[in-house]
Amino acid sequence: MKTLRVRFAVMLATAAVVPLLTYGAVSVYSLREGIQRTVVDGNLNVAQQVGGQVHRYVSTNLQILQALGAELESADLTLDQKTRILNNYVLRVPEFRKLAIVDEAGRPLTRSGLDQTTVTLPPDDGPSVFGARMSPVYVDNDLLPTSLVAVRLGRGKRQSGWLVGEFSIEELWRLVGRIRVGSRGVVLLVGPGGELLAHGNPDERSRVARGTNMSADPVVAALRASADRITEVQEVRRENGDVMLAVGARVADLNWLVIVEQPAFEAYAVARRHERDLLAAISLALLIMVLAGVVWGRSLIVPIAALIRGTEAIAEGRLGERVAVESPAEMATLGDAFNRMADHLVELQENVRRQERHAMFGRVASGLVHDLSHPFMNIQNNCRLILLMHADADYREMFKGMIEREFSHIKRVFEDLRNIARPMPMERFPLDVNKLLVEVAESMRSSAETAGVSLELDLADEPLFVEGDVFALSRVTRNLVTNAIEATPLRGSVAMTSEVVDGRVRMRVVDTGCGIPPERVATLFEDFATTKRQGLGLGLAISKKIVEQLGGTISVTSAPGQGTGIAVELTRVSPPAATV
Amino acid sequence: MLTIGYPQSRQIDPTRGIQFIARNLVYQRLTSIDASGRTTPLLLEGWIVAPDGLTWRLRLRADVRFQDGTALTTGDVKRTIDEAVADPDTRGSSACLGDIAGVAQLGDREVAVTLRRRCAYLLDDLETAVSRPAKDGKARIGTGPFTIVSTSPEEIVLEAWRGYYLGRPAIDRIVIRSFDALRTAWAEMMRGRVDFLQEVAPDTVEFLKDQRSVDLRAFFNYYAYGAVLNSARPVFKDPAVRRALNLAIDRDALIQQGLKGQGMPADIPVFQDNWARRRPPYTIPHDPEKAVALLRVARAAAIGVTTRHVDPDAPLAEFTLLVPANYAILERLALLLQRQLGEVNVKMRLTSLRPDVVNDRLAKGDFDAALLPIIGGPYAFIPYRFWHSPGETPRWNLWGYRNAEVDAALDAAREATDDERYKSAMARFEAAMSDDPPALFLAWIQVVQAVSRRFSIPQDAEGRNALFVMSRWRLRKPGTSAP
Repeated sequence: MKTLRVRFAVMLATAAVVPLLTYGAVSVYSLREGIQRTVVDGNLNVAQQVGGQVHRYVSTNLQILQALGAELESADLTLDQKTRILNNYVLRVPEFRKLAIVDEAGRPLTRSGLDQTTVTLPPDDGPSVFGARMSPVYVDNDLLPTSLVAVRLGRGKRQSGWLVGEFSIEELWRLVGRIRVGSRGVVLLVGPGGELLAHGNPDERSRVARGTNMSADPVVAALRASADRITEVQEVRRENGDVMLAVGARVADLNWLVIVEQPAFEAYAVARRHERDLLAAISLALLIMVLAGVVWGRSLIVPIAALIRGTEAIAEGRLGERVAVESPAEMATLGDAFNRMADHLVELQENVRRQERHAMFGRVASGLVHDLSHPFMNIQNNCRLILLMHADADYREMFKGMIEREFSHIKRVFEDLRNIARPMPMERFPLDVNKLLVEVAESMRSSAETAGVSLELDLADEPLFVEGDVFALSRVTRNLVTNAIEATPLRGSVAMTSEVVDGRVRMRVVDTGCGIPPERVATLFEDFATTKRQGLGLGLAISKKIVEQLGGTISVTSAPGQGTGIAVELTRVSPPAATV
Repeated sequence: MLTIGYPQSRQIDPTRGIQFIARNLVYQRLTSIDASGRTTPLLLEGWIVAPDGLTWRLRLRADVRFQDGTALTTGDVKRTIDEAVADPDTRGSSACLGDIAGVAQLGDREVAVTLRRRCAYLLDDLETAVSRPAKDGKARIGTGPFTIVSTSPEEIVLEAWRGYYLGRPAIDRIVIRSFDALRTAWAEMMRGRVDFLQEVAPDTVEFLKDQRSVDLRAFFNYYAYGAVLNSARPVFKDPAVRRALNLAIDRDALIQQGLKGQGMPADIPVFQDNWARRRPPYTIPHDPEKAVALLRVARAAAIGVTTRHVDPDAPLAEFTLLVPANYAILERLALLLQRQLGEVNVKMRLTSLRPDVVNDRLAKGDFDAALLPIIGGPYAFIPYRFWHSPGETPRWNLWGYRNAEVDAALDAAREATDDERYKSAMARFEAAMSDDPPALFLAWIQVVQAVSRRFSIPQDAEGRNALFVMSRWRLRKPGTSAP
């Protein structure tokens, strides 16, 4: 039953659970990879779009500056007119807080507004962006990110100085500040030297004013070290302990970097939620499947178990056992068939028993008739003769002897019957099997000679002691030798042997008789079984009981037409001290 | 401990420095002003004005003590008033001090002030803080919530005055620190080393907002940006020209473009929320067409031709505006104003000068116009000081504005003995100012202060300068939100 359950569980796991778990694992992995890729791609897209907007913003304003430079050069304007134009531009274009015209040496010629502070020409070692010089971005005293930009006035040999502007990129701060990736993801803008230009988190803006340099940031470092326009995802642990999912993109021409960073727990929140949902669905399906399997398996296993129990009961002889199987239909049919079979077996057994009783009764009756009719006939005939020969003293003496012999015979028949009915009491002592066999041979030798059979002894060289009842074993041996002599034709032989086999004492009586048919060998030691045409056939049955009472075994080997050997094996014991 | 950051470079008035902040925390006046501009008792428990308005009986609070533990006495109050009257500068810039006939102590709690003529501004005029010499004879001690521990040009250290009569302040120590630039002060604030910035520039507000560690508080400080017009100059002699220029200004655009929205249109030099102003308040519309028409008439009258003969290409008016140098907001306002006036064919030249030079030019009357922050409150006597015809010491009315109707309205207000008379006089003042505007009042200045969220400020101080309620600030428990 346990094996059946185990096999059923294995079948269920193989057929349903393992595939479902495999599907679940593959699905979760695919889902996680897919969503994470989507998140990263989305953030990269944001970074690139912000980079595009930054690029457009800067390029548009520098184009405005170039257009202003062209306007200033387009006509012969007085310095006052140029100043007014600069003032108008400053008022119209809030990105340029100050504008100035300087000569080739950087000396101011005029400037917007009233403030007399100098707007300096950016150094020429800086990058040229969209045809303009541009200084690194710095934070001015009003906390606004500012860069000095300059475009050349005039062309070729008519170069007449520079138009310089204080370019306030505060709009980029607003742009960066407006963008939220999820609820906590922000955008950072980093300058070409790693300087932080803008931070989307209001609480982090102070880092901009403090001149934080982000060159050591993994994303910035990766982007600066690579020629790619974007970086792959990086997980960065920030000072506050948050693990951020960070991606970066380069702003074309400016060499600025846009970093989009989002707390990893938030970035992967959707993936984790879907994972949980999927795992819950798979777990539910698994649970349903296992429950269904258990219920369905139980509907199969329970009837099978009942049938097995019934079969085992029948095998054990409890023919009254029946099974109760109602479902499924096939198993119910099987159960009905089993019950019908059991009913039939009961009937058959009753018939067999009845026939056996009849046969045994017949055998016992005919055996008793056979074994008792001769003594009774003998007693009857001699009783008639004693009436005639009552005066003959010798005859009376012979009559008395005959009466005692025949009654002894009758008594033995009855003792045999009684010994079959209940075991003989045993008195166990160590005895030498060889000595026993010699004594039996001596007592049986005249019978053998009468039957024309030679009786031979082939004994072990050393005494072989067993624990047994000398009279019971003598009877067994005598019985076996008698049977052998009776089964052996004229000039045949009966051999008695002893030996030690596997530490046990084996004694055998082997004849060269007619042998026993194979179909009779199995029942040779049963009660009232005999190959002889007369007698009760209790000899071998009694012998078997005696041997088994002494803890030994008795077995037969026979070949029809060649002879029979019957072996008795008993546990060898040490010789008694007196013998040693 | 609380640290106040003060960027000196942003202040036009050099007297408004870290000393200004310290004075407000150490010394107190007899009275205070509420949000609507009404006078309320501070060191006084109350006052009674005689029906003739000539005698004022001032009753002192009984629990006020100086920072050496001695009680405020009627002698202290008498001495303070006497010293103010005796000081020519103070007397000259006041409305009522010159009319005080005598000051008398009436027992332990009362002081009687006798006037030669009625003056409603008497208590506001007593601007001088009540103080007395410290025991060392050098410093002066006051009755405010904090005492001075040390003073240097860079830093003033104050500590809480245990015996403050309104209860010991929760902040035990205050450091007022001077910074060269707002950026430096702000960076210190971001590092947690400054807790309060007295003033944040409009450009900076956007940068600071949304920070979790800082609260921004906005309020109007009773100052208005305005261009004072010198009515003694021929170009501004005709009130119609000044009215026309007022009509030519788009104040909302100025506020949006020049102040990033942090302001409120100003029409007359009395703060809009003042209790005595009429409702709805007087406003000047933006009407450039009417402005041009008025200017053409004035121009024609000035050159003695009919309006048809006025040269359409010639400017309808020309003048120079003095602008204090190195103040980006004033510069930007001046440029915007120049553009707006240019649209009505008024040529306004701009001259940038150091603030002290501007003051000198104003004092000498050597100017056409000057762009300045002009105070419009909170005291009721402020319009009197600025816009009444100058007396013997024209300390505040530097531009020499004279208008008989304005003078009459201000005198009526000065002598008002009840609210109705006062309001009526102010309505007359508004009407006179709109007929003969002495300046281009542009925008009331909204000031933004930054306060560390370590501190909580009483809710009743909303819309007011947090500095003046610093004695009631509390340390906020970590994790609690702003009220």
